[in-house]
Amino acid sequence: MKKVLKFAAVFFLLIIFVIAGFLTFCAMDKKSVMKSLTGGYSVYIHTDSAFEAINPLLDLQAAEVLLASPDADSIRGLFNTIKASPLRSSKIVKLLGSRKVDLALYQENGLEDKAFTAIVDLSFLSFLTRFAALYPESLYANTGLVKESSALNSSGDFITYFKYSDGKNTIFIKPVKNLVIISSRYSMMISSCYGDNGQNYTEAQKKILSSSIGENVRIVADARKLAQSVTDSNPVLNQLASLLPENELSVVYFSITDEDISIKCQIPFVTEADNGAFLGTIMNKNSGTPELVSRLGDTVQYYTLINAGTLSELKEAFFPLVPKEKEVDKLWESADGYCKTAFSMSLDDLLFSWTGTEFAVLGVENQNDPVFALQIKDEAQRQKIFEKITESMFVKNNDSLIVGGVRIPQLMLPSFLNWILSALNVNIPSPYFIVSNGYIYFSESAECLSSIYSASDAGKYLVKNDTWKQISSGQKNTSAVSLYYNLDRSVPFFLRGKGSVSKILALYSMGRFDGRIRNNILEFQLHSVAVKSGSLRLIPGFPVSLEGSVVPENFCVDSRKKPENLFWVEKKKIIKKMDLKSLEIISLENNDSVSICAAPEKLSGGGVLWSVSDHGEVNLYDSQLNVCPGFPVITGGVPSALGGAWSSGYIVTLESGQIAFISGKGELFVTDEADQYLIKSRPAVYGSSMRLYAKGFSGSILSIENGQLMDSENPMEVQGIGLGSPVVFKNGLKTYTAFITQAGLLHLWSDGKMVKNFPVKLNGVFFTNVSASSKYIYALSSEGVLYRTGLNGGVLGVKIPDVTGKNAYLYADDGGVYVNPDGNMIYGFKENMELMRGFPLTGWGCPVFADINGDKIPDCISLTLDKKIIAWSLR
Amino acid sequence: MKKRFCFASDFLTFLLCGIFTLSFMLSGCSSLQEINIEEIVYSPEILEYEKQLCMLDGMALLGKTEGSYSKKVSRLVLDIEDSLKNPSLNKASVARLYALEGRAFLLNGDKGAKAKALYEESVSSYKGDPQSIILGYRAGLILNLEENMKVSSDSKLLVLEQGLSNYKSGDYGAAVAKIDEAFISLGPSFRECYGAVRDKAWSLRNADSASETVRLDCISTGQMLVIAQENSNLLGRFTEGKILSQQALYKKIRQAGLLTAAGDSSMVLLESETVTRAKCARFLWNLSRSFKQREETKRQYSIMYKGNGISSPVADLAVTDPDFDAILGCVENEYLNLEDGINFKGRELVSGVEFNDALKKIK
Repeated sequence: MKKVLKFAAVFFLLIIFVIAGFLTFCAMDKKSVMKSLTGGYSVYIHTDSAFEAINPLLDLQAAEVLLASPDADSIRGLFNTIKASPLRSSKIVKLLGSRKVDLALYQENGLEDKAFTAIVDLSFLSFLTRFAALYPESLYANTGLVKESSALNSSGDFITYFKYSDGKNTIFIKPVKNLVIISSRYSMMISSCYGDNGQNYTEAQKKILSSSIGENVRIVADARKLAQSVTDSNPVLNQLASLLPENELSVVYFSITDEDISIKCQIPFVTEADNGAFLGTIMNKNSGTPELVSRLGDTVQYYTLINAGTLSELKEAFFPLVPKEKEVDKLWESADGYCKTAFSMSLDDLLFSWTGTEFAVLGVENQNDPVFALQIKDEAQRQKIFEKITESMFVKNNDSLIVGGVRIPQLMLPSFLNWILSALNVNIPSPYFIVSNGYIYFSESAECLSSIYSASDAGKYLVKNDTWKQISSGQKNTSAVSLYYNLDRSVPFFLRGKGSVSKILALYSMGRFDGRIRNNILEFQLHSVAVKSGSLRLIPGFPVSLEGSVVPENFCVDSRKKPENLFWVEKKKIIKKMDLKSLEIISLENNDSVSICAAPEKLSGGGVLWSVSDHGEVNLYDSQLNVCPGFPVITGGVPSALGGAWSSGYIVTLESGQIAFISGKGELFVTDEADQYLIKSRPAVYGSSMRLYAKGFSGSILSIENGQLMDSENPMEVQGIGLGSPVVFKNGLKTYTAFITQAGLLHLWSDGKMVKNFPVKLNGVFFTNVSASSKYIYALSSEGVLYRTGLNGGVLGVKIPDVTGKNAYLYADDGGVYVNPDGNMIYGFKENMELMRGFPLTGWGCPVFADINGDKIPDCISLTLDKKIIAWSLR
Repeated sequence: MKKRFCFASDFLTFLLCGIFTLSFMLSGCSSLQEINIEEIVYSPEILEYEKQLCMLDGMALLGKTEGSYSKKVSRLVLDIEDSLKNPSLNKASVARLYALEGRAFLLNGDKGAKAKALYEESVSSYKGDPQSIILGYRAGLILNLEENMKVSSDSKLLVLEQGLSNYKSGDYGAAVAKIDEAFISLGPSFRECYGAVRDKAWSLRNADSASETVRLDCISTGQMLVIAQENSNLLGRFTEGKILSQQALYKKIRQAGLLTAAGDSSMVLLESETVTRAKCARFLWNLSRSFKQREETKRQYSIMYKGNGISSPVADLAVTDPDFDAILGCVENEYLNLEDGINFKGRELVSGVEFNDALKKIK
């Protein structure tokens, strides 16, 4: 026995050693990514952990913005499925996902054909893939993967790989040592598997690609293409971008959360004789620290500051960028001549002799006019120049103003000079100016200048401001160009585009963008923060415009628990469905007008949506609007009201007084037990319990349980006439039915009997009937008073200002109550009758709730009166 | 003229060049960052003028321009002109005042010349004022309000203008949508000025494509029949599918007995008679009984109530009223409702829209 145990122990130990040895081998026997990655890509992305890089991105508002674009239709559904997946919190998924991934995207010039290669470094987990070629096909048959072999060369070598195709795109997959190579092109996969691409990279490129990244994601891209893509809205900057050398790699680091976004981009450059040599004086100089920023008061709300060189240097650098046909050098010469005649000084003296290296435009809070600031290098020279020009016929020195204790002189420029300035987007026809702390400030508004002076004089500096500190964290002090922006006041050039990047950046309302040069590397850095607002957020992709009119009664989602589809009827006859993940819409046109009603839960044949036509034809559709087996069903009568669905069937009340019950399999049962009653409103449903209001001056409520009409001879009697449908709900084990008459008599029955303290008289006239949570019944009067009545009869009322409720909609659940009074606005009240944050919202009818953006929080979806579907995130 | 321009142009080029570098830097700074218009706080006086103008505008939209309306507008123009003489006004306020004055001129029938001049004054003083954009839009100088929203200091006013524009073009549903959207954010004074317009749009929201008759506040019997002929096929069996003149239609329908009270055959609606709720109920009830071919039930309520000695369930309606059956029938079938849950108020007048809405409920 001992021998057996000993043998077993040795055997197991041996196995463990073999496994450990194999795992060690798997970890050690590596191929480097750089060797495998084919060059020539336009963008290269690396992450040390795919899970850590991707997982937080799924919850971002920015992701929703990206997915709202039409190009993202195909992946929106998959994205939201992953976003809502419980696997995200799985430790195993995290372990498997925490792999290094390198992704290279290729786009050949002139070709629309794009390609990619992704390389996953499995490290020790590669024991799973090293023998993948030997796995039986049955193991992966359901995944769509197909194993293929092809000849590598004429000497008979073969390669075995996997192929996946969805009909449109094909992907080639091949495990190689520790790597799994995935490519959209066979040739690229071969090159990655067998080539040594490492020798194609320059030393500088190798350094960039192999350096530690620090952030979750590093993106390497062609410097010129990248710069051109973000400067295309600004012709001058775009020209500058085109001066960057070709095939030079730039590195982009970025981190993003819902609160802030940080992007840093480094672009190496060389100013060669034939390419941008004129920029040499500026580009070969390391950027300094602008002094102006530290002198600005905290009333400054935005600024653009240029600190790239003196005016003379900038002239030398930027004149070559002006189109040659403008003959700017010739113009400069003649201007210099005129200047000597008019002001008795050269143009160089006029402009360059006193100005420093900093030039800025800034805005001050509560003031609309911008302020222009110039650094003064030589104040004595400035004074001399200003005296000379104000003595001339062109510029008048007007009287000074005293604003806030500051003397502010004004220059009066002649109208032709203003015209020229305004042509250059500088609108200062009669500017005031002040000289302070080595800077001269110009503005059309004396108050602006006074404000700047007063704030800095009082020591209230911008650099001490909390928001400025927040957006400046991680930013260096040096800059050649610096933009501080607040989207309420100014829009920087990189936000003017209509692309997704601009839309994402616009989510962050305040920011600082700096550009600087250091050791032949151009560095751009942006740090923006989202300033919280109290309003709810419109979900990207909405509103969706509709082609025809829709009524709120025909607007529903397919399930109350976890809706996946939104349904509505346009132009009375066209049923439409929106997939709430992909936002894809499909439609089905009917010959007759139809009304729809969602099944509370999916029926056995896949049915999720009921419809009944004006002529009594009932249909049940699956989620793709295909008619389910057994349908249509002809009821033989004209509906007297909208139909209602319970857990396993559908009910239609007919003008004849009959009630038609239709099962999910298409079985029809018609009863005339209640033909003495006039049913004008949709049945109320809770689970398998239904209630019908038999309208009349002495009306009554009929009960239906599990599709069976209960005791129609002894219905619940209503004292008065009312409009709309009753409500049925449960509290504990008890089932309640509530109904309010038009005159305000609120009835509450439990198991067919009137509850103690009921009926309760509410003040007002009620054109809309009640809605209920498990604890309260809500009613809205025509004067806009919302009542909450407890099951003990206690009443609390809130007047909604400036609204009426004659054609209102009311929807309550345990989260609160949503009220759409007469008009295009929806109010949300908490259970304690406080208005919910962000409400009222625009919308019409009862809202429906479904998680559209995959954040696991139901979003509020509603129609609007101007024929749109709108969706608000309640996060 | 061309020569003069060339001369001036030559003369100016030297200055253009002289300030080129400096301007280049400043404009370079500007182009890197586009400046938004800030929300300005206006003086109570200007806000009062704005309110007065909006009040007058609201009245004009409802067609209530009789009496001293024109004098009120002129008075407002004078007040604004007085205020414009104040030299300490900031540019935004000047722009707002010019815009309000321009809008007032439009209200008083100005064809646009004066309004255009004032628009130019307003814009040159301050760009992006929403009232000046509205003036430009109404004077035909701005065609797309949506595009101007991003440059306006208060886009909600432009949303309101979109709603008012929809109202004028008869797109009432869209009008309510936009006006309500604007009301959510705008101050209560705008609701005060345009609340009636909004309510009118709300009442007409189902009559977007309907004729002028439907939009009348009260209708005659003849007009009621024309609405029924235009907006339903319920009269088809009496007109044999033809479109008849009001007079011929009245004759046919009267002959069919649809205008006769169920409780008194001598009571017949006259063609020019203004329709009240009770008379509307009479026609609707007769029409529904005829359409459903259940004419034997025309008097079902009076027979039941009188026969059993039950008092009327409607407080202001006697069992002996000739239209007792019609009113109860219409209320129970939801063609018409009790006004306050107790009384029918049969003597109140019926608008074209109310009748049209009721008509659509007969199926």
